Parts: sequence; C-alpha cells; structure tokens
Amino acid sequence: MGTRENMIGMISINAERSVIKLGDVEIAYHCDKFNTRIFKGFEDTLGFEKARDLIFTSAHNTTYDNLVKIATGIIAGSKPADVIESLFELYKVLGYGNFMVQDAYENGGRVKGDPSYMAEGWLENQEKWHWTNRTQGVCHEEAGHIAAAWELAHNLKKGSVRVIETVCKAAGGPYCEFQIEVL
Amino acid sequence: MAIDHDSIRNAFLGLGLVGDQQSGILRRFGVILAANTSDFLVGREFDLIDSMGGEPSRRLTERVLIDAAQWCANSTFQGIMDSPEWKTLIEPNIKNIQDRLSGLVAITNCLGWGKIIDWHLTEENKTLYFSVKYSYYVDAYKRRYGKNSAFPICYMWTGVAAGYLDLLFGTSPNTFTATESNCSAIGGDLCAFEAKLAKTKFGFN
Repeated sequence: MGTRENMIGMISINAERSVIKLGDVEIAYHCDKFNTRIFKGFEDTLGFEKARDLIFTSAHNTTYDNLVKIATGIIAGSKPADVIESLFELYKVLGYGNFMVQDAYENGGRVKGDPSYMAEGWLENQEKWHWTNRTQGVCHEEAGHIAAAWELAHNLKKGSVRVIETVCKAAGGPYCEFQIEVL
Repeated sequence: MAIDHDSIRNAFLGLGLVGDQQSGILRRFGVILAANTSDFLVGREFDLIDSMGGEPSRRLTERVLIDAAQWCANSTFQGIMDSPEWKTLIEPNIKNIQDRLSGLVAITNCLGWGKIIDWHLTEENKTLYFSVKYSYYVDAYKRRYGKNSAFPICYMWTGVAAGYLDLLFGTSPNTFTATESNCSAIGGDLCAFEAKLAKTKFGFN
C-alpha cells in the first residue's frame, strides 16, 4: 500500500457511537462555515495577534501530542524530508490542503500551501457574510500543524519552532506561504 | 417512507471522507470539510475562555462559541440540503418537517460529533429537544482537565440545536436559542439540548 492508502487506512468509524478515529485519536469533521465563524469570533473577541497566537498554539500542541501517539511508525528512523512528506500526505487526507516544503535549512524553512483549508474556507464565505477584504492571514491552525510536523521530523521538542504565515490567499496572495523558524 | 438512517450513513460514508489526492481539499454536500482532533476542537474553545479571564466572563465567551455554531448549523445544513447528494439520497423521502429534521440528524450523526439518539420537535410551539451520547466535548474536556466539568460545555451542539430550528422554520439566524440542560461532562452519559424561540437578541433569555 502507498502512503496515502496507509493514512486512509488509519481512519475508523464506529457507526454505533458516531465516533471517528485516526488510529487511537478521536477526530471529527467540521466545515468551512463553522471553522471560519469560530475563527472570526476569536478575532473579534481577542484581536488579530492574540487570536492568531491562540489558534496556532492550540493546533500546534494538540497536533504534536496526537502525532506522537499515532505516527510513531512514520517518524521513527526516517529522514526529516520523508517524515514531512508523509505527514503532509496525512494532512491532505484530513482535508487541510496541499503543503509542500520549498526550502529547508539549518534553522528553519519555508512551506507553501496551495491550497490551504482555512484560506479556501474564508474566500468561500467572505462575500456571503459581507466580511471585508483582509490584509492578514487566516491559516493559523495550518501553521500549527506545520510546526508539529517540522518538530517531529527533525526530532525537536514541542515548542521548538515558530511558524508564521507570510503570504495568504485569503489576503490576496496567489497561495499561502509559511516561514518556519527554529527558536 | 421514513428516513432510513443506516442507508444515509452508508451512502454518506461511501462518498469517502478524505481530502482530494491533489488539492487536499474535501468538498462534500456543498461544504468544505476538514477532520480535526477533538482535542484541538475543544481545546481552542477552552483556550478562548481562559484567555478571556476564565470564570468571570465565561458566559459571554460561551455565547461567542454558541453563536458561531448556530450560524454554522444554518449555513452548513442549508448547503447540505441544497447539494445534489441530499437531493438524490434524502429529499425524495421527505414528506414533512419531521422527516427533514430526521434527515439532518442522520447526516449529523456521520460527522464524528457523537450520536443524537433521541429527538422531539414540537411544531406548534416551535421547540426542539434532543439528546446526544458520546459528545466529543466530554472526553476531550476530561483529558484536558482530568476531572468532570462544573458546567455544561457542549457549545457547538447548543448552537446546532438552535440552528436546526432557524433552518427548519426558515427564519434568520438567532431567531431561536438553545441551552444544554444536561451535560455528561458534569455526570451521566447523556447530553441534552432544548431549543425555543429567542425572546431577546443573542440568546440571553
């Protein structure tokens, strides 16, 4: 089986309980409406920077902890580039978008998201809900997922990297781009 | 013919709940889906409550979370009902508002949120009761805090309860409001939700 098929094979559905799992980890499906509304609620309540940091940190921590549980087979003994490629394939399966490493160097790297889930969701709903055009990015949870993947691939502790979205399609960019910095 | 929940579930899951091989985007039923861990979905909500200062402003923060879910329920389920998949699989069996709710419950029960096991819609009074087993909030909360909650926590479900009624009665979002009258994060094994017409804006009844 290929990587994608292996990832898909990790998803199990208990119809009796309406519970879905990825390996041993409980997951649930939500749509662009809910996730963008939640994000907007966070921004309206906290302001852009605090909302960005909160969503990034929450996604980063929970993704890191859960990947440690379910992806040991992918991580152990593999080269960083291979681990990242596999984890990004998992993110594709989960519907987060298509992420590709553009640059990797000693103290960080650059990842392109084309597309990225939150940006697609934002653009899908912006006109309908009369939200004004943005100048700032929306893909903070994707940044958190990327941070977790980068740390695990490079055998770094949780919290070792910061990921900032520098280009976002929801803010007029042609795609989304993330800068990774090892702290 | 009654709404066949098993057939709907099989058909829904048969569509494949995975992102596209190239784009990693998962479009189904007229919306873009993504799967997140319940630890993240619940964690971000409690991070928001904590960042707002915790208990003193909890009720206000909860309204932000419930409101997002209520808007979501309205738009998401309207998108689902407008989708070709719904028109093919479910619409032909819908004869009345009770059937429509039953179809919505069948889809809701495919999403990994836990299971609506009982529901009662009173058309005259425009009220809705439903109960949920295995709400994803409950275990995630207990993993995070290592104890039961002192208050109801299933904010998404609360918004969905009111959103169902907004949608079923064709009214604008926030015409209805809901409360979680029992939460298994406090105790027991069922979460229960009650929705009714809102007397005031933003659901502070």
